[in-house]
Amino acid sequence: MSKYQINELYKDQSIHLKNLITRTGKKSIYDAVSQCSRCGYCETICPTYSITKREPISPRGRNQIIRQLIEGKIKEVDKAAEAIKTCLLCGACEDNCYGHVPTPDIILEAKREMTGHGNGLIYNFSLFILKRKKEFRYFIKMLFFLKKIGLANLSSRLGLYHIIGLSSLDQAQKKLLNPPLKFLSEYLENDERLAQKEKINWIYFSSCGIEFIYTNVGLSTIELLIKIYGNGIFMQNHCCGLIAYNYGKLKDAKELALKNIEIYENIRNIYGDVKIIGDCSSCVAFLKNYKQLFDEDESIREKANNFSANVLDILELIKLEHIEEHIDYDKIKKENLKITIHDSCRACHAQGIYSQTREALKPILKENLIEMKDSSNCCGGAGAYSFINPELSTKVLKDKIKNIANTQANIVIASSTSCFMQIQYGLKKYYPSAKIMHYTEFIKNIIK
Amino acid sequence: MRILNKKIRIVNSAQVNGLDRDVKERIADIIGKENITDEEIELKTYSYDASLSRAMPIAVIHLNDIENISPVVKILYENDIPYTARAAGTNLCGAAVNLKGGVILNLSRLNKIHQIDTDKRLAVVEPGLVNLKLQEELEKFGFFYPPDPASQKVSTIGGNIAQNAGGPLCLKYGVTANNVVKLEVIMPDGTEKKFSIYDNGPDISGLICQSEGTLGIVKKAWLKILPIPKFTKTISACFENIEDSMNSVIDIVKSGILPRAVEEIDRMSIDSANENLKLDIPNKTDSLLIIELDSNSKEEIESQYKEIENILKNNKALTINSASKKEEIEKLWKIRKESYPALARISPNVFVEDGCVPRPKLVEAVKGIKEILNLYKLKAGLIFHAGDGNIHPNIIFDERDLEETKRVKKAGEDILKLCIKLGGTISGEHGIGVEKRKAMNWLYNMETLNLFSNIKKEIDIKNLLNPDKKIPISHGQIQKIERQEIPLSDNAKKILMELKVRYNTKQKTQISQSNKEPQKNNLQILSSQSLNRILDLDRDNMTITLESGVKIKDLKNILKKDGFDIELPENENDTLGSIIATKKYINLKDLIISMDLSLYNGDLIRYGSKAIKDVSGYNIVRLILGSMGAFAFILSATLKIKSSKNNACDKIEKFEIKTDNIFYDETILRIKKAFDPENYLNPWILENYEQISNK
Repeated sequence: MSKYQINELYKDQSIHLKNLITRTGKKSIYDAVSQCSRCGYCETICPTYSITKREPISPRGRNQIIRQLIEGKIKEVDKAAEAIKTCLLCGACEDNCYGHVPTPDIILEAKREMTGHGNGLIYNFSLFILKRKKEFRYFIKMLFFLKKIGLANLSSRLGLYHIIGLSSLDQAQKKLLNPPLKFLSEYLENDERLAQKEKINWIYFSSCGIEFIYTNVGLSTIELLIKIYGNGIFMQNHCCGLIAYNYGKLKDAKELALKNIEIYENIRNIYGDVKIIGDCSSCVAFLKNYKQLFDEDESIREKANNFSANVLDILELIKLEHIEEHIDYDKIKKENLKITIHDSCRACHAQGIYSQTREALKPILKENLIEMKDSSNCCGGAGAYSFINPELSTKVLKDKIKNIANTQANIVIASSTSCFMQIQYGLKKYYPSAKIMHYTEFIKNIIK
Repeated sequence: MRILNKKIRIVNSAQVNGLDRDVKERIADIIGKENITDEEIELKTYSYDASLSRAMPIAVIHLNDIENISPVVKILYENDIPYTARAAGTNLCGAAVNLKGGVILNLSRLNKIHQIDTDKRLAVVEPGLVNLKLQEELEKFGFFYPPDPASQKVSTIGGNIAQNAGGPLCLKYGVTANNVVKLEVIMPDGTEKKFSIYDNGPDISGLICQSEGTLGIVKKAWLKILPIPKFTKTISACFENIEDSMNSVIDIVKSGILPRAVEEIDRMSIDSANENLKLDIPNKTDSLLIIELDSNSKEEIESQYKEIENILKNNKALTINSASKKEEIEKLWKIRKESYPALARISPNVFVEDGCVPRPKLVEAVKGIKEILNLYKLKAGLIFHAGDGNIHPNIIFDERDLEETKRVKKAGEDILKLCIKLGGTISGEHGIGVEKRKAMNWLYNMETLNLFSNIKKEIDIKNLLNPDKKIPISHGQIQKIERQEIPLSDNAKKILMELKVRYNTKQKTQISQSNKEPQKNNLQILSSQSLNRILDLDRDNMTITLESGVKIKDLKNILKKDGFDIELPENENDTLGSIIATKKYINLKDLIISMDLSLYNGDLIRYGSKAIKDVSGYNIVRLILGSMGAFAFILSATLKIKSSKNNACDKIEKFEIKTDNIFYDETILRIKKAFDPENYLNPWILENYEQISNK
């Protein structure tokens, strides 16, 4: 434990995580941020620094600002908001840092200190909705309906979103292409193949993005799971809590997480431990992080640890030997597929998933898999980032699309909803000859 | 509890009250108001670099175009505002903070590559370009730029030039200064200048390298690039003790093989790195050596490998592994590359000390460093660029612990003192900045420090550009440390005395190779003829120290008898002093590592040592090359030698100075003033010097 106690650090202890579980052990926020020795090796890897070339917009700069905030050395505290808000939370710096300073976690704790954080209208409204999934369906459907009939565009053009202060919603709706009118759980709840069996091999966790927007991805995942891994069930889960964790209050994130842990505990009582499979890498990474969320809560800690230990990203699950025999090689040849992989930040930086996808796909695709430059660089989507920091986000996106275009690929593979929305939008605008596909969607597409 | 407030060292920050509004507006007119800021948060983030030094600037200026550097600098100069150029801010000695509460010029957006010319083997780049980005571009053409500092992923060419950065490959290919051909520089007053190694006279581009941003801001750099060798082979060997591994290094270099890199790590570094890597390393290992060869001929590389294998075996290597494929090579390097990161995970801070000793002294240095660490109860991993005697103890600590930090600094100082005592220097590649200013007093005599500060004063009259760096502020009060060095010969002492007498009697001097040269303007001739001794031939260090009167053809004969050679032509009748003063061979800049000089008044200047790398002072060697005897009297120099087995010296680039126009530039005039203000030495070289210097 730290020798250093800085009491004025937190005005309100309850809004923060007490300790961060870092790659170099459990640490207070102050100890974690002091691990940064200012070597600067994180700078060129940071997408926001690479664009702005300004120290406050770099991981080292952000860590130093937060450290000085903690030490009470900054007078214009409000001005720190820019540095904190512009962080993509992609985690490339943490990966690249010799001391593995957990910059994204530190930034999140700093965000919780920001005035008005977690009290915003949009946040509370979405949270209200997220906690009540059924109502959310109707709300989202209504929005999608408006979009489909073109009203969203109209209101956007009239500047209505701006008038009511919801410019980030406007940004969001622009990036939504082809919204579905039937959600994933509506399919899954009625799928007989997912009925309870004597023995199951997997539990499917449906993420909000897949549930409400990319329904097809979820359906592909389910098809693959059934075909290759046998019996399993749909978890009928709640939102993982990531949105609350990143943009709101810890309390709300915990509430949602606890609900999911309870659902899993019920399933566990029947089947014992079964792997929870998710197909949105952002949510999966957060599910793996439940142990951090309940680290201080003894009554839940063990269950949370167990929950996290059983979570698997579909990217980790699929191995070459599982799919090899099913592949339709003629199709790959005939359609002249040229594939490139975008490593979603929450897959590569948060979970360390990089080689797994290559190991499974390279022997199948051979020279049809073309690596793009900086495949693990953020696309600028980063949850709600692209709505909050549209300008910077677009610049990050352009770099990504440039790297995609250089491969001349016609399919880009990604694994997180936010990347999906962002890259889909970017491709349509700047490089329409390629389309984005989820990992499972793609694999389902090339198997017999 | 605000216990921490006291803990951060604020360096000498004579804070002035913000930037004048008028100045700010004028600068904003040039670069846009969004690119100049004096907000606290921004200033705080430009108050540090990778060292422990901190100093708050009053404003930060982000430049978007190299053409804007000069107009912005002119405004700052006019208004007497101190300023410091900075890019990645990865400096390890505080060179990138502004000590006088001035302005930071952020150059990191100036990162264009203007040209890659594989025919002329040149790359023309802007200062903010990240080293590795250049390497990536060059790789597309099958080329590379040799300097590869550990920070190359982030550090910039501008920073590399300012610090004269090295890296593992510099053993074979030289440090930054050996790979810069030409520079476009913004001088402290904002005027633009171009300097090149081919200039008709002293080489100012060589002075700008290593000047830590105190003499000019690089606007554009012409860098030497080389084709990537076709074959590489990496060898890793474990040893039971450091003596065996060091003897291997000495034997390898002596054998005539020049590896592209020779890196060594100690037990503590091996242990911390191997915790994760789990490589099979014998328990008895106390030192691990990584040697990398490169060549365009497979036969050559294999025969070199066999020879090295024998040398390693003869020196009792416990294991020897080798690799030629990229993945396997990476595997061998892993333990070296992981040794620093592993320490960074153990502890919040790692203090990377940087000292350099003559190669044969490394064993002694390691023993001494271990004693120092024990004395201060500190832990450190030792990593060396063993090929050139550059040692990096990486001391782990927590900068929030004031007492521990004090011990770390003390230990760092003792390590530097040890390097000096062993005939080495206080920095092989990281520089002096703020943190080693004190140590400069231990290394140099007062006359040499005075020369450095005179150069700074002449070039930066108002002391505005990165002020108070590199040179100790109050020299003369701290004693120089006794150093193992080659003593002056009696004849050299006589020359010093003679020049002193002539100065006191106001007699000007014509320096000459022999007494037979025709006398000019009735000047008294002072010949280097009496300085005819070889002072030291260090076979293990592969250096020779000789006096300036020795003829090159005699030098070659002496070396050849011993199985050595030097990269200079056969049958050269001129003396060492003469070819240096006339810059007769361009590669002299890469051969000379130290020089003893006499100033016009008999003051002794000792620059460099037998340590292969030294970035401590201003690069005096480069100024003397081509100075035509108008700066100082050359007493002796130390040069790198090679094994006579190496290729013959047939491609040495010759150069000729046109004597009528050496002081073509005001900057060189100013340097003359720093060396010889009253024009005592070879005064005819600049006939109207007095008129100009009084202007």
